[in-house]
Amino acid sequence: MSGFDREESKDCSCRALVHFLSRPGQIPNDIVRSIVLRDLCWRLPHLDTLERVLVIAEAFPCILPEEVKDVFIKATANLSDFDVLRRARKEHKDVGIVTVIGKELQAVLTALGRSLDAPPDERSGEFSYWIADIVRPAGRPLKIVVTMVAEARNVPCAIAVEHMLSDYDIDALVLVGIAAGPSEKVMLGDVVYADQVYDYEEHRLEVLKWWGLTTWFRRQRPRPKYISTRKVVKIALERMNEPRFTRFFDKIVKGVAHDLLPGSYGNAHSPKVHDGTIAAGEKLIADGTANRMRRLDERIRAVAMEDSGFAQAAELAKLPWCIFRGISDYGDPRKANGWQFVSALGAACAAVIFLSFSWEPPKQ
Amino acid sequence: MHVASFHIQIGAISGLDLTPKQVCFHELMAAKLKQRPNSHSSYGVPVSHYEAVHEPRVLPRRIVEYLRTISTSIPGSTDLCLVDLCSTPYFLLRDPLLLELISGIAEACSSGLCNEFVLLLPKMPGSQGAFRSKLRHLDEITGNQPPVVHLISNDGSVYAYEPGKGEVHRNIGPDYETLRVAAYGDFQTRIERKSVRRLGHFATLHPRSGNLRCRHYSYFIHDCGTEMLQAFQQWWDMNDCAARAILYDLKCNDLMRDVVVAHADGLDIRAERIIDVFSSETLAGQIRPLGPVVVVLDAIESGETLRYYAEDLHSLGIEIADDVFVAVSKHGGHLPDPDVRIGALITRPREPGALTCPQCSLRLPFTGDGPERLSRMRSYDLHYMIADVGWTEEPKLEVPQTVGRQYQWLPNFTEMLKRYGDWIGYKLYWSLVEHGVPEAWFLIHPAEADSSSVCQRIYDSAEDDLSIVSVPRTRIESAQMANNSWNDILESSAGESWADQLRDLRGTAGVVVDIFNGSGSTCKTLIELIKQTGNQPLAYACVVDFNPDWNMPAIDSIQKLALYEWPVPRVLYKES
Repeated sequence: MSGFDREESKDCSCRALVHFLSRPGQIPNDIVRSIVLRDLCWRLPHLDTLERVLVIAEAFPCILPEEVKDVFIKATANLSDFDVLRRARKEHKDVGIVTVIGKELQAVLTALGRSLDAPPDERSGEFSYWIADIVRPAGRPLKIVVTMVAEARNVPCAIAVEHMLSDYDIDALVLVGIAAGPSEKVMLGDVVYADQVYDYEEHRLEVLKWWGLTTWFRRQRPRPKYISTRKVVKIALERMNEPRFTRFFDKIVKGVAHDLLPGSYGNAHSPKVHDGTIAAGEKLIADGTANRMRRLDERIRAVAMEDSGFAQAAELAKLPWCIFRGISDYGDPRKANGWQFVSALGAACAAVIFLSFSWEPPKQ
Repeated sequence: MHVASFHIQIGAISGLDLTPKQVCFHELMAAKLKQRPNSHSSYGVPVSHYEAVHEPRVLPRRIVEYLRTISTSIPGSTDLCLVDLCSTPYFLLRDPLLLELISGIAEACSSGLCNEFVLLLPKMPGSQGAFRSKLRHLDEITGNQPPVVHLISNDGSVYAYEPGKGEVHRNIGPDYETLRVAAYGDFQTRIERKSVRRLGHFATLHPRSGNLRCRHYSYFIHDCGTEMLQAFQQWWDMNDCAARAILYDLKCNDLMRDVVVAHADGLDIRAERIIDVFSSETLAGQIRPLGPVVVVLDAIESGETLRYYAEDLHSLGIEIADDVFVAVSKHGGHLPDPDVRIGALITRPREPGALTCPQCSLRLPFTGDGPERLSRMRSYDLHYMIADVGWTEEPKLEVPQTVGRQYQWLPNFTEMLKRYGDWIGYKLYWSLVEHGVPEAWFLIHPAEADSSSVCQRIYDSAEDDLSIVSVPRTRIESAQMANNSWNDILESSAGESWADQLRDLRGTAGVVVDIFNGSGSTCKTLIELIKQTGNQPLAYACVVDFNPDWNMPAIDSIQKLALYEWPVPRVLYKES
């Protein structure tokens, strides 16, 4: 599902030309300088205004006589300022996909048609980014950026979303990963897509009173928080087509090394997609609480640790968001070995199908 | 005694001389069958793809013509005629071509030109096929004095057809294959030909720290899976490898990965990715009892990655064998572990790494190690090459004198092609393939050093042999003075190789190739030549287009495929 460009972007081309124009000893004489400047001028009209102004400013010293150039650079201009301006301008991506652990990232890259151990395409501080396109039957391809939090829990996930939004101009956010699911409602490998997160973590610690008198007894009163996505996402999620997802998943999973699949995985395995609420907290649930969570909200189909931070960060940025979680265990003491990758792959395939066929990016 | 040998060059340049090794190979073959000849003449016989498939009579007719020419200069008949097809792809030797060859033999024999023939074939045709059946009944075609015909295939088996004896099977001996490989090159030569050092912004992850390391170049081997398999099998056999598992890390080289998997399948041993072994205890547990494993990597330079892999595998209880295979070896004999023996598809000198990456400072995106993603060249790469090779003036002889002025300053394309020609040729070839080329096509270019070099590089990258037509600059200028009319020039050039080639190629698609486009005048003239010789112009390919047009990337409605666009058009006489 990835597409390739025929030529590099014009701004990369111009930055390279300015680099060679300003390198000492690169240009033997004025005629050659004018020839290289022609190359630069040919590409300039295709840059956006800010980039064009910056390139012209950076190239300006290259056309000055040597004696003036020295004075100009030392006294007048601090060229590194230009780069600060440039960095302030963010590259546009249609969708940012956030993953938490390595297997989730590998699954997303596989579903996007990239090698699962591909090195990152870009880096910014502690965070790495992988770039891909999703081809859509109707409309232009979607430009996707993928990152990995590499740490569970809500706060690191919120920080990763913030970081991604500071590096890219993004229209929508998607969280793809694995989760525990209530065994009464979902099977291993199934996919849950959510338009709502139930943050069960917040409690009020109270002291019990008896006839107005304070006692030594204390209690926790839950103050759960619901975070819902926008209507436009809910409508798009309604259009999710399960047979299309199943076909795509079957095609992708056939190309996966057998060793990445669980021992109990059979050819007949056909993951189902469920819509529901995702319960998010700070605890790794492995004591069977996942089933009991449904008493809090009947729609809970998955329990995870990052979704609240993700949804809050997206809401803060006023961006549409949704979550796809593959069920890799039941959140009980029975350990389901080896389902992490295939569950994440199910979630990634569902996300790709959603973005290809259901999601309409805002008009630019 | 006189021997004439004809090396059939399907799709090759007209009149290409045979190398001394090839001539020596023919002489040795003749000596094996007859006593050492007193005189020997060797010829390269050009046959286009189109002729090989659609006009099978052309090949025997040319051989007979050559034999007639020889008989006029050397008294008496030729004693032995050797027709060398051993380097021709077998699929091109279809029955019609082979049957026409028998007709040619019959004609040469009945005309008294030669009575004994040797055909060197890539593979022995089936015994029940029309070709060998017809050879068994040669006397019915040739009458009283049937010729003697020997068929020798690349595996060294020989079938002789002698009057009264029918078909006799012989063996020419084990050294035939060695001699043939010495004359025509082996799989190693083809791998070298298909390896490309390309420029870009390539990143690899440090296996331990996860930090990115950047390179400005990457080696890429394409379209020689069979040869790579041969090389890997030979290395395996030479080192008596007894390993029962191969672990590989071949992220940059899909073809090599297929080779390793195919080899492992053939031997019924395991082949797994190293990364999978690290991430799966189950897999590690399956590999552990198999003993020392052979490791196959994309490249080796400092040996650091190999050391890390050895340590990490050791911690899983898996030992690696001393024999390691890599696609590209750049270690230059400086490996931390002296016991490790490295086998490689290609060996290249070690290149100094840079502490900082200028492309990262410029925020240029990574280009990826897989197949070429960009059909055009990046500005950084072109100007990097120019910084390396410098600037020079346009050679006076290559200036279209009737059209415009000489360029005083141009990138030194001659040197650029020497240093980076493999990548430039590969990129041009792939942009042509991406544009769409038919089964049979040819390249046409002005007969100048740089454009010849570009054509040769495209030829090296192509999967099959390509015909290359080289048109003298004087002829192009004459046509330009005649308002691009070639009729008179073609008449006066009859017998010149370029004109004969174009006549033979009739009906084929042609691509005009030049090192750069200054005004489009040479391209227009060559497009007219293609049209006026009954061929179809397909595209115009050049390294740099100095006369680009955003709105119309075509010349005379023929698509321009330039690796780089740079508006510095030639100053035309009309304008000045």
